[in-house]
Amino acid sequence: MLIQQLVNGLVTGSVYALFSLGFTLVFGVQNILNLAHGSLFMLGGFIGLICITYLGLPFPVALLVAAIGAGLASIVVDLIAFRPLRKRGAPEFSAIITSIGANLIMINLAQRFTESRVLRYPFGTFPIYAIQIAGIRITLFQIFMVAVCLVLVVALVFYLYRTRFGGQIRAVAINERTAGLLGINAAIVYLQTFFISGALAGIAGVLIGTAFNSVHFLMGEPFMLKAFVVVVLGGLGSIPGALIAGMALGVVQTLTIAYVSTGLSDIVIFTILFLALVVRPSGFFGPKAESRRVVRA
Amino acid sequence: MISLRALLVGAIALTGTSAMADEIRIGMPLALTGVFAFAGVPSREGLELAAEEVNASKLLGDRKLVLEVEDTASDKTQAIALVDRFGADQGIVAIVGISTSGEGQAAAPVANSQKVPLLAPTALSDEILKAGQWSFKTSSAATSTITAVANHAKDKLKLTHVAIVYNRDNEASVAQRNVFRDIFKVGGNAPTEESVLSTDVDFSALITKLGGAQPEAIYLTLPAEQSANFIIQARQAGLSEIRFLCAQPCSSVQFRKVGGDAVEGTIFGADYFSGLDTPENKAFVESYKAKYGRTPDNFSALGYTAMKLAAEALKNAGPAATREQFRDALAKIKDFPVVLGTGKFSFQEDRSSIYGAPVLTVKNGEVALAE
Amino acid sequence: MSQFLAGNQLLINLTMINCLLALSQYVALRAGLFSVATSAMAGVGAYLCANLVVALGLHPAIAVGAATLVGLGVGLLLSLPLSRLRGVYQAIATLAVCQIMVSVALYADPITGGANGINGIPKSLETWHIMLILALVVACLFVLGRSTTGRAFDMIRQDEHAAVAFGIDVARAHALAFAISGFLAGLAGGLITIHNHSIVAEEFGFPMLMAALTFVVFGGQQSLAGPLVGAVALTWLPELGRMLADYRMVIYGLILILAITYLPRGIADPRLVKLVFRNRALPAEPVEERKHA
Repeated sequence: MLIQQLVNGLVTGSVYALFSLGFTLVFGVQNILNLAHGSLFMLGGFIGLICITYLGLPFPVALLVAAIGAGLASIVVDLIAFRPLRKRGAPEFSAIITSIGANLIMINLAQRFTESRVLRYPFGTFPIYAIQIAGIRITLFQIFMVAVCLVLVVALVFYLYRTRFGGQIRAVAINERTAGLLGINAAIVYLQTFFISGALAGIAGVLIGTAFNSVHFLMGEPFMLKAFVVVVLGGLGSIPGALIAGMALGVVQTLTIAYVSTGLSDIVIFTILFLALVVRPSGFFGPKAESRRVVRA
Repeated sequence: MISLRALLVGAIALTGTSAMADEIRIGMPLALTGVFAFAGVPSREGLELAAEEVNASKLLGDRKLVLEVEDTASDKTQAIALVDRFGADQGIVAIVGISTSGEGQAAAPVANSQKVPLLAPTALSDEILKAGQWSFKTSSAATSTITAVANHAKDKLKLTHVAIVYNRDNEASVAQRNVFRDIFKVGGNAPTEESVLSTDVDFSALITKLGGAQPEAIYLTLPAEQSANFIIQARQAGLSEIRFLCAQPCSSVQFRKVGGDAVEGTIFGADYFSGLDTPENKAFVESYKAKYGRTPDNFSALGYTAMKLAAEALKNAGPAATREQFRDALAKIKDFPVVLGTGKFSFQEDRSSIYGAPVLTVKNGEVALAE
Repeated sequence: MSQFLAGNQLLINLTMINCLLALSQYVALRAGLFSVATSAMAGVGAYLCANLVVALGLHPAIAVGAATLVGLGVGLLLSLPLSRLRGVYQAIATLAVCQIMVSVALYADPITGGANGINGIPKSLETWHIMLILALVVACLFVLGRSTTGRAFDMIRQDEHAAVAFGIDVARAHALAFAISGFLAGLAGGLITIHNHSIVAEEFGFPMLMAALTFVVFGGQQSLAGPLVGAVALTWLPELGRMLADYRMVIYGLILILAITYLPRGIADPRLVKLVFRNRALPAEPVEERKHA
């Protein structure tokens, strides 16, 4: 059973990692904790649901549409909540507040549209097929989720480190002003960052919605809390960090439920977060110096 | 949406003048939005349907029931504020509202200090009764339906090894766990207990753990969608032999819709079985379908019954009933024909309600009596 | 008017308690701490107070006093590990503390009543009690704000390096700020307990955390009036918006975004007040002007 639980943990973990990718990206580039990220995830789940139930699109197409939809929504959130602040040179603190505002709006609009119901993807959205190897049981969908997560991480790293656009993103992340002097249009970089972040969240939303038979307006909130743990442990802004920390978190949570107590899993996770912050805030891969003594305006 | 009439009456209330003589104003705070809307919205439909029937049949003579519906948004603080406001308004005879145990626990003491009768249609907790003699609830103690299921499991199905999965962040769920556990362990087999959060969707770790322990049945005190979700994941994880015993919300259509084939054969108790073969119920189901386009569920039936009880109390208390008279008349109701349970409703000495509890199951996608 | 007051007494009491929460958050932010631990400290105070009143039968005043002291203690305790962190990391750490508190409250059934919370707490709080307490608190904070400590807080918030250069003991100032913040939070938690008849774990989680933060940000961090104005405005807003009840939260969110973007210093910005009063015919009342960057 231990191996089975480890497998469970890795699947759960890859889901956490996928969710946290976009979140950590935005922080890495803009130093903003985008608390509306959970709503983008939820939005992706709903868009996918609409595609499959009302438009009759096949699953892969729905996934793509959800990604694009959430990406665009993310850009809208940026335009409304963050860009005006950037123009005014507001402290990072304000951005957190506006993202809370954006989050409230999206959640409540979703609540109104769905009348607080919990919806689900229709049966047969993804073929249900379980494989039994050496006493371990894993479904096709679980493998799919892990695969998508790994592929996206690799793709993102490739994009950031091997393409020109990625280079621009990293330049702006290091210093916007200097990047501007080098002829990089920061506005386009920000648009890209938010689009990618939203798209990743949207994909995660469809996957989670399908995997766990549930799409509802509050589905993003528990994931946001886990995302904090992931990005701190992994290092704010680090993509590989998000992956590793996500997996680790999934395993720790699963093992705590399995061998200690279901009631303690949350407490354990957040205590780990707290200790990590106290001992090594920059996590596994994060920037070392910036975590302490940031001088605020 | 608040009707213009209710707004008008509300505006008059604010200035403190009393209602028109032939109107009986009932305060109705319900969870119409927010996480508990799944209970509040259907209960409102039942309440309003009953009020319409009462007014149309002139049960109360020339007096008409006027419902002042307000949304608590599933928020305890709002519930308290609304009960307080209705209580302070002397033109309101009684409050028929409050959707959840959490709201009820908080608001019942307020109703008692304001000396206004409160009849909660769907809230479950006994704390509501303990708060004082002014607060009532329609729903029988969690004991009734759960006792029925627990006894069915013990005596009819002869189960000995059972696990309970409950929401540790929901008071009603915890209360249900306690009731089931206490009854079941009388046979000497204490069930194992596991908790989840009401926001949890991923049960893989817990299911694998339970799969290792191999109980004969798992009792879920979770809401309908979460229960269905759990069962689906359990079946997908290969636990096809385990029976599932569920809580009352699983008598709803939503449970079967979300669960699909996986929930065939699950067993649950309910306050209400739409197939109950009484003229009262048949008429209720027909009118409900005609007005709202679907079969009534547990919560609709509770709402409908609550309003019928209130109307009966008003009738018995006589014209120009005061709050005290209403309260006393309500407490005296015995063997009143209702659509709940097995058809007859009584308040007991301690204001708890009994009306029988059928044990049901899902058979071919429909609800049927369990064997 | 008296009908209005009578009918809305609960709301008025709630507003004043929210003022205390807002002040607790304000003190932390004023000293440059990005801490959102107010709700956690309030929760600890509340549970202690509830247990003392229900289990031990202590007089509510003593129980609230204990809650206040415990809040102060928790604040001091938190300052030890947290004063080394800055900015967003400090925020996340205090968020983690809040989560831990709620989770422990749900888990530790015997002490906290788990999901049920603690019920049947006799209501022993009158409106004038809270008014008195609030007035005292505001007066003390006002004095504090103009004292050396207050100026030290301001300096640390604006430029930590300069503050250190001036010889200000940052760690000690932060500890003090956490302690005061905890004191106020514990007090609020205790008052909530003896006012509401019952407490539940979720009350002290995210919603309260966000509320306290929003009160201060919306109202303004520049002066003592800020958190008070924010608390009053945002507590009453959902009530007045009852007509638009369905979209209440959407409007709330919109207000947050608009207020922070266009009124970053909050609506109780002294400069704004001065601007408004400047055009009056009568001599303008002297408005407190705080020198801030």
